[in-house]
Amino acid sequence: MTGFENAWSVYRYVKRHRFRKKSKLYKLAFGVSFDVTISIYLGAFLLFGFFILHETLQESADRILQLQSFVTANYLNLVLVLFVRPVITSFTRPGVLFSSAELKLSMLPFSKQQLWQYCIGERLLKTTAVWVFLAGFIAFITPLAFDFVMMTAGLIILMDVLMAVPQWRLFQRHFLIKLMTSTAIVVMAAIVRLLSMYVGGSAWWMGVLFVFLAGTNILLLKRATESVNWSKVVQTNDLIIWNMWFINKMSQMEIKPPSKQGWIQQLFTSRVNRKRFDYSNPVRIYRRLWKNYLLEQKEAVIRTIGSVLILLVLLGTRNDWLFGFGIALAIFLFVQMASSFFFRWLRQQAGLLFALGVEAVEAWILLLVCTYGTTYISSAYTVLTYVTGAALVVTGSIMVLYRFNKTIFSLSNGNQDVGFS
Amino acid sequence: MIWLQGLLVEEVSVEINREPILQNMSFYLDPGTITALIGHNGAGKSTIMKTLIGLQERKMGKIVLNGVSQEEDFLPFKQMLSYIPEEPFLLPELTAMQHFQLYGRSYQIDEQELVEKVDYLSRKMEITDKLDEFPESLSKGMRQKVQTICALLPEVPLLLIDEPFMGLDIYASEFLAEAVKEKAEQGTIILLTSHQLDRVQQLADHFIMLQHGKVVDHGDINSFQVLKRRFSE
Repeated sequence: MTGFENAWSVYRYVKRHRFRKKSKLYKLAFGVSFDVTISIYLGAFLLFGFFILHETLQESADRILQLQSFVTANYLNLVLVLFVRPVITSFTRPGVLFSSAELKLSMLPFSKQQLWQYCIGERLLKTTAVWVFLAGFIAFITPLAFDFVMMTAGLIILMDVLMAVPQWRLFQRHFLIKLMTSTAIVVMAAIVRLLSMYVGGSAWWMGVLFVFLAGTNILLLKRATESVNWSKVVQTNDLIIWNMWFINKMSQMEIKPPSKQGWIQQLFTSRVNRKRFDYSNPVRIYRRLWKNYLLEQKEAVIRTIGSVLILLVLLGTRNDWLFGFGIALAIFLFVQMASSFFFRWLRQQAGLLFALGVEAVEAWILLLVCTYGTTYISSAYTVLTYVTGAALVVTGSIMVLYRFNKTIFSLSNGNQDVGFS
Repeated sequence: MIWLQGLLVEEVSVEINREPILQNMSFYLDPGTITALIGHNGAGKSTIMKTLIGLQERKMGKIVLNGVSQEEDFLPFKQMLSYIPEEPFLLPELTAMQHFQLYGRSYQIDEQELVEKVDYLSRKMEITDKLDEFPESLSKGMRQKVQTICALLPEVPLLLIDEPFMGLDIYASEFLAEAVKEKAEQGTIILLTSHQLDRVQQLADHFIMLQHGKVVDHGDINSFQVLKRRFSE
């Protein structure tokens, strides 16, 4: 055993042990999930699947070659998407996997800047390896031209190289700055696209963008490790490194991210909200408990609202029937979520009311109000659920009947045509 | 230029989110002394520790250890200090034993010496049966013990200890106090922070009192009664 000569040797030491620990975990999870027989069958299925996929893709060669010419004509769009994507990702991910291990090493006699450079170098190498392998595989399995696939992979790699440092720097900034920057970038991308449409010269615009990004990198690289929120960086990266999907599924344990100091959190924990409130007033307690509960469940709330909106937008653009169906489905989803919130809330918070120092009588009144209030509301929601469920069934049936009649009508018309001719 | 042996902190200022945390902080510590940083929560004790190891950027000022400037020779400077943080901070990739190897190799400790030291310290800290465990399977106290052993392994001129007895059981605390005294006798500068004033009085030779990021008093630990009165104010 010899001493570490430099930051590179200690970096490799930690990486080697990380790889070993992860491999061990994967082996354990794999051993629990698959035995030899299943593994052999799975391998055979994968092999056959590969041949079937190859055959299928060769059969639809015309369409795939059409896709190739479409992408070739729209390389600028691809580059602009690759330009905007890391900027949006910078809201949640730093882009360089500098974890708590690297931070710890920087507390030993090793340079933090060098360790950061190794992290970014590793990211670029990994991206290159993954895309070269993927491109080779795609070129082998599909009728796409090898040059085209490699060119596309090259563009993706180049953009990844050019956007790594800007994403890292942007991650460190305040939410509002990120918002303004990403808006500016999206507007800039749109302007470039419009200009290329009217003035032409896609390749020229791509060149300008590459030069602009190279210049930005040179400027940002000098101060890459200054004014960095290291705790936020390592917290996020540790989660990315150790949150392994397969292991989580097999162990049925999900690693949850630490409570983020995001804008929603800040909104609810602002100075006004942190001020003392009159906790002897049951109504205020009731409101505060609800607010906290909704904050706890913010992901579910956002997901529900998002799903309902997507549903309405997607179905609304089709036709009136589907839009009506979408509205009924949206109400159904909303009602289901709201009623489950009420029940859970009641179950979780009822005991807490007594621990808040509220007078016993008031607590009982509050509990009764909550219980009956939520019961009545949830009963009303249950009724509404049945109504919307019934509405869904009716709407669906009408749609099916309508389609059926339309088909019968067109078929009978078609038969008449045949008869006449 | 002849440099004095010891740690010189001169006019060091630190800002976090544009808020001054340390303001023109200056002090000098002789080799072989144990100095306690005393102050209320938020006085800047942990910040000066983090600034010394380079985790916290400083706005201005100079830090020199045995003639080696932190600004100009950052890596040789870091090679001369060891740090026990308030919260155990271990790598999830490494077992307890691998942590000791990491420290040993980072501070260029001879292999045989490292084996002997690890054996001695792990027996004293009662963690011999936990050497192959990863941090997530250790209790907080055990993690703190691993962290403490790591910091005690290298023979360095400066040992920084943030809340040394936090999370340690009575035997481990006693051993740490002994080890710290022994290190000081060998010429190591010990800088520690603690809220346990009685322990500080037993262990330290000097104190530095901080308030709002400034040194408000310093002196011999024997003036403890005065210190205690001020601290309670």
